[in-house]
Amino acid sequence: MGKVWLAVLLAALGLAPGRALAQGCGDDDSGSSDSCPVAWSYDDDDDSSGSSEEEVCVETSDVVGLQRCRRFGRGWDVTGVPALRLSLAGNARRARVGHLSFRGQAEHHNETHALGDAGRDLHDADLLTGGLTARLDLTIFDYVSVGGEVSFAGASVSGAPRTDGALVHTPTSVSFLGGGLVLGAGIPVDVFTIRPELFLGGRAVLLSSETRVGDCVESTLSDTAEWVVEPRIAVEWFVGPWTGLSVFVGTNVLVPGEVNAGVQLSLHARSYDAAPSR
Amino acid sequence: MPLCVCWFFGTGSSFFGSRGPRSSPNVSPVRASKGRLAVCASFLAAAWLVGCGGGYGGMVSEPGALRLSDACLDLEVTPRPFDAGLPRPMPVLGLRIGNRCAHPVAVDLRALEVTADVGGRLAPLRPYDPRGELGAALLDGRATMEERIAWEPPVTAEHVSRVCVRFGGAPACLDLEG
Repeated sequence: MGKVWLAVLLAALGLAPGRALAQGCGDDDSGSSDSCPVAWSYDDDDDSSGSSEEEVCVETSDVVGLQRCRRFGRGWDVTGVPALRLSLAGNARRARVGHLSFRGQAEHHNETHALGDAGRDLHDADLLTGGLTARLDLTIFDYVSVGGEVSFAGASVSGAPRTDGALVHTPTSVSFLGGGLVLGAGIPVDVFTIRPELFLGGRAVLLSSETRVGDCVESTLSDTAEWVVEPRIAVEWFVGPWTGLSVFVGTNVLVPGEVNAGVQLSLHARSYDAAPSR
Repeated sequence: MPLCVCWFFGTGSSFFGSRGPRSSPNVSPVRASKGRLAVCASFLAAAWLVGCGGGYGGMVSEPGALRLSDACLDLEVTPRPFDAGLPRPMPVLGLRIGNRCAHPVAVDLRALEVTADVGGRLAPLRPYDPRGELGAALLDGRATMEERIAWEPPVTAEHVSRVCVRFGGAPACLDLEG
């Protein structure tokens, strides 16, 4: 035990003198800094910074064959560049939730209450939702494209408060989280491209409710999921070779009467989607 | 189109602000519409900047440049100063190509017919390409490219004062300085 304390003491002493000396040096205005055991620090990245300087290529000529930093075609040769299209859309959807059954749980006073809501119990089961959609498409075989899409939308809802024992819950909003594949074709017509498309995917539908047990009020989510098969037609207007604005409309064939329409901004890796003729 | 975009943002506002302006007594309709207008303007400005920021629409030729065209491509040939890194004297030409078509076009500068007037006779020049870089490349629709290429005259030619380029039609010639 005594040895342990000694070791601790020695270790402390081993650190302490250096600290004391350093402080002493700082206080000594006239002393020579050479004699001070200052813990000099060095930049360990010297080697890496030196090598990064070497990596910076300095161009010596503009003439092909003499250039050190670039090869012929760099910056303009699009051989092998895929015709990718990145899009962001704002859309409005006439969504129908009357056929859905939501399941969830509410926690009140350390008790779990099961929630079950039917979409038809909402005051308005035909909702007008607003949302955003992000897409990435790849054009293959010149006029055919495949892509992936994720979307997020929501709407406020209302419904009569439902009482389930001591639990009272009131629906407040519905959110949709969707994703899937989009198969499409592009038919170029001057600066426009007409796109018949088919979306195949699914979506999670989240119903937010206010639940209340006595004076305890909580926000609670109940959810469900469903498939979406949505044929669409879109018209893209190329405002520039690499940028397009589209309007589209589609309908979910699995939920009759559901309509989706929106405006989409697309950035193209290849001008006009690299269509061989236009 | 702007109406469509603005209509979307009007609809989306009910989503972004859980209840929307209708049930937000603190937001006056005038203020909400101004905000919407600002978002619309930003969106359209961004689309315009990105969309109109590129695309070949025609070439403004440099003085003394040679201008040739075919069905899709505009070619501008400009004499450039000799590069000291070249193994021997040879004319250096700046080549600028713009694609007027909306579809990609193959560009093969090895196939470009360049000749030099050597003592009254036309001698073919070949591109200086020690690394074998020149090959068939693809120029995107409405895109432009620019390269500077040295053209190697026959070893018997001491000085090249005039080069001729054939691109699609009849050859056109260019006097070189010096």
